[in-house]
Amino acid sequence: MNSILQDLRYTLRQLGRSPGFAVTAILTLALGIGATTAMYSLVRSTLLAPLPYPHSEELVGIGLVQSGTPPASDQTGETGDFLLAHAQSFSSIGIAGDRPLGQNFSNGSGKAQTIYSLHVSSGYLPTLGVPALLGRTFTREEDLPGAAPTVVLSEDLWRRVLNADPNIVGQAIHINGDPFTVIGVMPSTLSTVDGTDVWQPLHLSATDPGYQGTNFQTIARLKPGASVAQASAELSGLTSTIFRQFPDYQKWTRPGAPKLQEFVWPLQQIVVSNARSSLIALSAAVLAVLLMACLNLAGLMTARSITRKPEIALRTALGASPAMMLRLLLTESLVLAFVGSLLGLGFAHLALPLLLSASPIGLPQLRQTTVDLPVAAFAILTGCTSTLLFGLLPALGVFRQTIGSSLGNARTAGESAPRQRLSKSLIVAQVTLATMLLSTGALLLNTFLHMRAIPSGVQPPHLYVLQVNLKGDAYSSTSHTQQFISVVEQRLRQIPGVAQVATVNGLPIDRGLNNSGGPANHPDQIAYAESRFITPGYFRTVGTTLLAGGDISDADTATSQPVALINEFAAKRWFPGRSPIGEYVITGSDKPRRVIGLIANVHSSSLTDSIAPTIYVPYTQVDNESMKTINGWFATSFVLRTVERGNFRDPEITTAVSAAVTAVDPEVPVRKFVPMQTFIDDNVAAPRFFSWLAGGFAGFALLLTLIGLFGLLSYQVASRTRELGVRMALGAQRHQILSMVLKNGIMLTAIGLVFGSIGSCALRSVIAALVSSTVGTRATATASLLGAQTVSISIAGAAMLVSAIAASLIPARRAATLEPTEALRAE
Amino acid sequence: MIDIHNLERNYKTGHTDNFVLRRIYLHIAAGEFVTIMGPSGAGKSSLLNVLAMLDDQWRGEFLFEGTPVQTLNRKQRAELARRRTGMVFQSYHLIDDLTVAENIDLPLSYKDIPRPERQALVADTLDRFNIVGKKDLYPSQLSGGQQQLVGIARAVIHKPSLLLADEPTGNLHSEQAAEIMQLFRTLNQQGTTIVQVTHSEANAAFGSRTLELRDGWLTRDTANPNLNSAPGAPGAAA
Repeated sequence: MNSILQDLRYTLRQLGRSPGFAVTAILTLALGIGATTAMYSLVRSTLLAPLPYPHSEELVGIGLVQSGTPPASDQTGETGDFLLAHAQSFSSIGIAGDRPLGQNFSNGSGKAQTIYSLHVSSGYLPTLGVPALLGRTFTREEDLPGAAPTVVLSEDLWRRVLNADPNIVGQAIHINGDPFTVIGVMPSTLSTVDGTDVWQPLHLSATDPGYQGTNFQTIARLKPGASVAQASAELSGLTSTIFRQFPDYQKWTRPGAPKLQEFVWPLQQIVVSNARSSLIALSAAVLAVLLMACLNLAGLMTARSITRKPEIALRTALGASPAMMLRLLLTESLVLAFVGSLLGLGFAHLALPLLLSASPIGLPQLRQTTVDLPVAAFAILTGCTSTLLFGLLPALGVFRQTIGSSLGNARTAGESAPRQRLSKSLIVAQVTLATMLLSTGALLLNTFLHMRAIPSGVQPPHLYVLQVNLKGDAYSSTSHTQQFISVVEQRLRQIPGVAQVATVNGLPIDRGLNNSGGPANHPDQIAYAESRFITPGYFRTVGTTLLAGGDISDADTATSQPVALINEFAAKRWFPGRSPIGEYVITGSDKPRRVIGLIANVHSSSLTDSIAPTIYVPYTQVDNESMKTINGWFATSFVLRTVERGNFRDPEITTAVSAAVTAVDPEVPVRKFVPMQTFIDDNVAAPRFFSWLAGGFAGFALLLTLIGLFGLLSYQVASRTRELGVRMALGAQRHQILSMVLKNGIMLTAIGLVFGSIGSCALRSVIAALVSSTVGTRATATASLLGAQTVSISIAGAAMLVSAIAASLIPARRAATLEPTEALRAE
Repeated sequence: MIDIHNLERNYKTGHTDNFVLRRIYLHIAAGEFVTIMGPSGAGKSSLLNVLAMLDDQWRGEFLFEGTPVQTLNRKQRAELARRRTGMVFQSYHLIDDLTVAENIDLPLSYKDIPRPERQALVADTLDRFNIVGKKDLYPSQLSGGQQQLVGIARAVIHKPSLLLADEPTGNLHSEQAAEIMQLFRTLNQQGTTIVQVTHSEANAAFGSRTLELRDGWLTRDTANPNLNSAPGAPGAAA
């Protein structure tokens, strides 16, 4: 024990005497371990955490998707019903809407708010297996079309808005202005997965407008003893029956593409599916940073052990056993590891909230993301393992040689070949990794700039968007919806600074209805098309160019001739070589509409989406059924163009805008009031986030490489002092010594650059997949967004070379100014 | 070849000056084989470093083949040394990661000599020293005597007029030492002026003249028996 304490004291004294080494080693470790720990904590709370449901390993999702797609539980209404009737591998099956939808909630206090509701079948909540906190879940009867309106609340909403009223069950709350009887409250664990505030019965019916589309998700609980593979095999067998029964689905896929098929995945994989590729990519980047930190540490420890050679030789000569030397080295390594790990934990603790708040990816928090005991244990274990593997082992190698040569006088000059190889390999590996990180950062930054430069089709300056949800029975008719929109538009126009106002269902770069559409006289050309519903002056307000014909006006009413405007893409496809004005188009099951105007192309749901044929229809001419559908699925957006002066984000303006809506219907809250640029920025948020993150990692990697290269060359100059003296004695001039050391650094960098460039090229497809998964485009479409690889590699190469020269310059100058007589005396 | 007048060299230690060479007067003619002897710390290696023009912190006059070295700047001194002197070290100072041939080539690589010419010179030298068979070996694969042979080959490849050797046999056993000294004698007979530093009387016997240094003073010169050996008294060697 005394010996250990003595070693510890000696180690602390030694580290105190080499503050440069101690601070560099500890900071290197701390940053590497901090980044790794933060990412581990995130991965642990998402990818590695079990779902918060009883026997969650039995829960699966069933998706009607093409093979090769990521885990998903997409389902059409009719295939969902089919599974309910035919699948045998499950003890229960639940169907739900594809996502929680925004609804207007009020509890009679007069202040409505937006909440998120998931429509679920009666089997959905029982399948998850979480018992209700209060009351119960839906019965089969309550899920039938026409049943009395009921709702199940989340614990969070119940506590937040209803003051945890213990007698809430049986009482009525108002959603979209309609009364719903509360039948139960579900514990908060349920909301953590998808952020649902309330559950409403799905009332799945073949007459639902979205029944035949993949607007649903299906979950199931495996029968005891059944496996995912068995369930997959059963559903694979049922796929052919599905196609016989519903032949239209076979037309959904393009020729040559994989056919749709029923797949079964563990539900956990589906829940984290969207975040999976991003987290794996981030983890890989973080591991690369950790590896760089470790390589750096190895370089530092090797260099340090060289400087301690005389001490170690003396100790050995005085009788220190190898075990004693090992204990001394171990103590130093563990002290560094422990301090570095503790600092790393602090770094992770600070970085985690920043990472979570900055991340544009939805990260399902299946477990609280925090630095807890297992995470701390992970950090310390990683720190110790890294230090022992990358710090102690290379140092031991040097000491073994030292003990062998003891105090003998070296008769040759320079480093030994194996030691040189080790040092050089460490630097080449660091440069390789740093180049890969740098070029990835440059590639992502290029992608972000590329996406930002894509014209959206609207003019964002001075354009604001006010979104509301018009749901419930009150907004199931066109006349009531139209009346609401008309009065709100009038009130918005009265706000000082507002120049133009119009309304659209299906804002650009947001969500909207995709439907069937095409030329009325060519039914064979009727295929997928986007439908947008607008009020007069919409195009002028958002700044989209009217290329030919005229705009809709107040004269276009429910009783006048049905009219539409189409975009340039639709005109070229449907009416090639001629003007579309005066032609007729069909959207959905609507009657033919006369085309009165041609509109410039606008990106519908994403900047990266390819332009789709789009039909614009006046709000006044939408039938009641379609109005109910679009109001149920999408937000209604008022677009406001303001005068060019003043700040329109003043709280007073926000209040006035909100008042314009609630004055017309107090049950309709403002869901969002933001500049149009926000929608565009959100669209490029993921590549921006990843480019910043990769840039941060790359900067850290560059710094580590700089330190590593500087350390290695300084060490080489120190250990080759006598060799340099010999060279000078044999006629080498100072500039030749300077260029020799510089050349050494640049050569190592160049080799690392070659390997790094090869690695960067291999990473391109991974980055394309990452971008496509975060911005929701196909990987093939994303490939065109990524800039030229040569540009990113050139940027990385230039940064590395400049860093290499900077890092090499000081040791090289030091070498060139050596006095030969002094150098020749050096040991 | 060498004329030194009143040469002094000191190192500053705090506020005090430690002299390692005091009032040295020395003439060495071309073709001489001079041995410098003396106890440790007497200033032998310091004098050798001055002669090799590796050191430029001395005071006094130093004429090398008629060129006043004290008037040359650092670059000019290095250039003169590179052309006209060769150096042999006690610890051989071969470079680990260079082969025998590459080590021998090293002094030429710092001159503007075309590569084919350099290769021819290296081949000649390997042949002359009878080490052709070892040209691709690394220093660690050679014995001490062989390493010193390579060290001498490296020192003379550019045909220097002055060969300086600092304890050239200090790390060799007597038989190897005798062989090396015989080689020096041969080189001297072929016209190379040699100045060696040694502790060994046997090695000194190979030379034609012996100088002795004590505490920085030149106290004995076999070519000048009248040299006043008392410290502090200037003496002039003929």
